[in-house]
Amino acid sequence: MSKLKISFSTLLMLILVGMFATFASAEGEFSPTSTHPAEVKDADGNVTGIFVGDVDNFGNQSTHRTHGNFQNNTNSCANCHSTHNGEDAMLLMKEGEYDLCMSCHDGTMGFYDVTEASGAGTFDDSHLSSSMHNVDSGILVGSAPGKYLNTSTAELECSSCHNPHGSANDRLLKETIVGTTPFAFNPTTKVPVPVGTKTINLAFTEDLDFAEINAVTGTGGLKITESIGPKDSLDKQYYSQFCGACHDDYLAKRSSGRPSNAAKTDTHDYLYSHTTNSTSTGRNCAACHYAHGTDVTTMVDALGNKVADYTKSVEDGGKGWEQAKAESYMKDVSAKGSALKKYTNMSVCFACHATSITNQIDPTLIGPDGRFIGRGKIR
Amino acid sequence: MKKRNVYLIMSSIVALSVAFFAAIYFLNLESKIKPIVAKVDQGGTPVFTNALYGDFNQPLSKPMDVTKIDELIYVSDTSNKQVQVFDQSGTPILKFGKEGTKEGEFKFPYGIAGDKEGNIYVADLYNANISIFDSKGKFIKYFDDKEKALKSPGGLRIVNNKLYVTDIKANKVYVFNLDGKKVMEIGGPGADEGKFIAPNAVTVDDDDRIYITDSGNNRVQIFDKDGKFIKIINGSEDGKGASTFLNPRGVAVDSKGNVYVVNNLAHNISAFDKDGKPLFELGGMGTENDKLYLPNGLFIDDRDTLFVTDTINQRVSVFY
Repeated sequence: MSKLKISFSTLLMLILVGMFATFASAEGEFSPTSTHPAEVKDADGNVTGIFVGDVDNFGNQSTHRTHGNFQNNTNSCANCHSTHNGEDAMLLMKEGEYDLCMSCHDGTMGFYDVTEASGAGTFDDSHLSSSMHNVDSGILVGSAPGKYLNTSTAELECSSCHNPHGSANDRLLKETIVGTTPFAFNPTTKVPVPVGTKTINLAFTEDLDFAEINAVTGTGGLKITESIGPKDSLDKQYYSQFCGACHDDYLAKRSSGRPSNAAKTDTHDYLYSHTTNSTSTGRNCAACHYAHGTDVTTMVDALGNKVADYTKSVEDGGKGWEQAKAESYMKDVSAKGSALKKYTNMSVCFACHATSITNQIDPTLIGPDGRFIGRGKIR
Repeated sequence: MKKRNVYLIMSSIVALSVAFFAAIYFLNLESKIKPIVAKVDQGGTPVFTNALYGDFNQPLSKPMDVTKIDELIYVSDTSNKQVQVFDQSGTPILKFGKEGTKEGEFKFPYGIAGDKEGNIYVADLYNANISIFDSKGKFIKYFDDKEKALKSPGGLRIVNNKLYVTDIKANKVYVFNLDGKKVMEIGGPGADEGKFIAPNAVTVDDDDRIYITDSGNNRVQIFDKDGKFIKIINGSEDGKGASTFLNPRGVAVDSKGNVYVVNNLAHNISAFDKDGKPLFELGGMGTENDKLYLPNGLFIDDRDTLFVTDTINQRVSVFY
């Protein structure tokens, strides 16, 4: 009988041990993160850790850089990529891409808020006449208006145009858009420009709202800038080629018809496009269209005025219109929508080509160059 | 007592204990037991207890901040341009606000806080104002920012009848009386001590020290009640080394003085003791119960319960 007694006591002891073990297991375990991949403790048991971003490639104390210039000891990849549970062949969590970008570019970092009108337009869809490159909506790159050779089945995302890893081009604009072929080619020789060559320079000016922050980063650091579009003549052509990677049938010279017409066997070529591939003012995509999107508060009329200019009081140089009145003046009534335009309706045509009809319009709207005042905004 | 009875009692204890642990094991009750254990073990790491998901027909979309007023939890449901209110079990009670720029409307509802009367203050980053609602969600008035100082209000807390608000574009933190008189201003753009780049959250501890998340500089700065800089927490020894934070957002202090910082891009919450020494981390990227995916706002109540907004998982996760 004594044997039985011992075994019960042993059982009870085992249960007690089991209980303590359960309680102990409820204590927090170390879970590695992208900036803190491993736990290291010093002699006192304090976590000193292995932290990524402490020391750069040159042995200097350094901080993590968001886009590009990754260090040889980086662990930032896991912010976007999943080593074993990716949702596509690039090991990306593609459902979260837009949200990932928008965790900073929603205004909570102060600068580069894509919901606010900028040189690329806006991603704010809350106003009248809004239209945009609708990222995160599941539309396919291959459904772009004016696609002819573009048969891409990829979904349109921020990364369709921007390379978060860094790019030779300004604003992280990608060097390859559809497939792996570079979008840029020499406009004369048609020879592709190899990846790694900067083709798109944008006309930047330092954003004065962030002058103090720009001063902090020194001469070589990141500067917060504003853009008004492609910088010089050749940049305009390359910018159009960038758009033309998807909207390929629209990349054309007016007098030669669209590229798709060349494939036609009959001689009746009836589809032509406004010139989009030239270095001249008003003859590149960015002259008339924003890259991100537009809405009634972002577009201007032929005079280059916005809704905000008309709602200002007369003393401040405006017209003192109610918001609703100004918006109904500026709204785009085109059947196909505002098409990411910089000028409302067809007023961009009017702003540029008014010279031929100056005898019919109010001379006070004509600038010293004999053109509409708002034409100056066209690049 | 008879030997037989002793054996009976002992064996029944054994049987019950075995049944208890077997039940925990086979019925997967471990996650329910952990919080109970944590309650007993006050010194332990907080563990996930539950999550608030919101109305089935309109779940939370990019919830940016959370607060608790009396016994209810208020969430700025930012992409839905509204505020959702829950009880502690996660039952939706109320929601208010819609998209717009007029009274009672939001464009980017962000920081949220309550005063002693139970009124709700909501900072709107895009509309550049703070709206005040009664506890039923009825718009009362805009916060009377007498000097029109607010350009882009982000993080918002009300402590001891003072309103603390971060201004993201101005790179400053303002302290107001509740009648709208500005009593203090901290910061300005820059990377030096006492300067900010995009401050996203603010909180105040029991000793009136002010904690400000300096997101663009990847650090939390601590100030005394007069706005004098005390020190930096950035995960490094003494806060003087390189930061281990990745886009820090919500910040809160528990009753022991431990500081919790949300690491948005690292998908976790880092905890530090009151001297700034790292304690532990919660979360990590994922969609499971105790994981986070681009978390943002953080609130700790008087019982040391953590509420964190988990933007991609569209929920507020509760850790205790």
